[in-house]
Amino acid sequence: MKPGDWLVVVLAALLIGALYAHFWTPGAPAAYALIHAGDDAARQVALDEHRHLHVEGPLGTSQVEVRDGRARFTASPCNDRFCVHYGWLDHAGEVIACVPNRVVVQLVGPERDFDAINF
Amino acid sequence: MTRRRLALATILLALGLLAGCSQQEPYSETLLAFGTLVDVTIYTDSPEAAQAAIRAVDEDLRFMHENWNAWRPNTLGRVNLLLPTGEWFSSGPSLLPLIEQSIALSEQSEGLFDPAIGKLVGLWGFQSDSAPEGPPPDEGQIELLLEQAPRMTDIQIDGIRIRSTNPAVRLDFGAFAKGYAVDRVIERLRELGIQDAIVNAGGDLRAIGRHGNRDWRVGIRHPGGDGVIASLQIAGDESVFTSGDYERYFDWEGERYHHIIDPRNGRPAQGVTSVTVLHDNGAEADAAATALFVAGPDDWPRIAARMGIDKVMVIDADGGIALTPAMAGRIRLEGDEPAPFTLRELP
Repeated sequence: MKPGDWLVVVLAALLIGALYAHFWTPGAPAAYALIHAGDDAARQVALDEHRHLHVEGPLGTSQVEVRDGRARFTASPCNDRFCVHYGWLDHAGEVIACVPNRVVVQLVGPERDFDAINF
Repeated sequence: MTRRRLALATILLALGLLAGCSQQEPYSETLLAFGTLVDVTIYTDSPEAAQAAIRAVDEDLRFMHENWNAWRPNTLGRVNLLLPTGEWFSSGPSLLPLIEQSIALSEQSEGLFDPAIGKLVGLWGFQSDSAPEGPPPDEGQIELLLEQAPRMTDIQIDGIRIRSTNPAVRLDFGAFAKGYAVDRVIERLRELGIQDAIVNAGGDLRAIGRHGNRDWRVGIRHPGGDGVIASLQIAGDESVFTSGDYERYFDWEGERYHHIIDPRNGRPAQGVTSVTVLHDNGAEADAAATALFVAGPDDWPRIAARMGIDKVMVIDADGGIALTPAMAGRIRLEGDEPAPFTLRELP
């Protein structure tokens, strides 16, 4: 196969993965973010105002951007910066961790909805 | 080039499959039956099939409500008219399985669930769809009915013919018809090829299958008002039935009188606020919720064991929560500070 063929196959695989994630994860919008730093208690952050947060970890400062119901790492003192490359979190239940710097960002949904109420 | 086309075809095929999956969604309709709202939710990729199934269910529910209401001129009305004669007569065939299952459940519950006390229910005014305004009935009338002691076991069945050996028997399936009807509805949905559904009849429900790629989520409302006190996840086939003193009642001279009548003393059962039963069969769960409510805060575990029910939550008159071990393994108490509970082993 030529390089272009491989590209098509890789793009197809990525597309399928993305579609799978899109259609099969419960897609509730998040109500707020919980930001854990080391062993400290998690900090609750609203997602409706645009903010740049500086979160201290053992390696240094991780930067988290919050806006429009989404959150992402914009800078990190770790080596591979996987957390930054991950991009935006925008669904309730999504979690991204910078393991080396021990910073975790977690999106939390509104009150869980029910299919039926018993009384 | 051919390979590239093959790759493109693969992508398109994958897209088509995913699009097919994504179209599955819950389809929901609310029907009016048994003096309450019946929500039918079907998880399906064919809204047309769901609509057709719900039409069929609607007809079934109308038939059942017309025929099983104890206080109308219908199949059950005729039975209630003929029972006091003591003679054998032919019962409507739709009613026989209901009567047979009631007798069995009444025996299992030591008579704490007993649809034969229709006259007591009528005396208190809880026979109609709307709650009465009082006053409570005359003591003498209650005592008279207690002496006559109507029981489900007074009914004899021979083929399609039945009779009562006690003229005071009057059938009222208020504590049972909903559960029985929910079972029939689920049966009908399955016949029509529906595998994932929830049928919620005025707060009492049975769920089959799942909600797509997750379990069904059921919230249990706080007996004190709004909000959810606990929740359950259901996959497969289970019923959740609650009997509560807040469902139908009247206040008279500072005292509250609710609709769950204790057949032993002819008065609203005391000591419990609500009983929630999780069980596979809806009719059994319905009868058990009533029987355990009547049994009271001390005796309910014994009656639950007799009836083969192992998942129970009881909230007593003081708001204390008791769970069976099997229920504690399934239920999740909700709220920022979930309420404390006590474990009650079954004998």
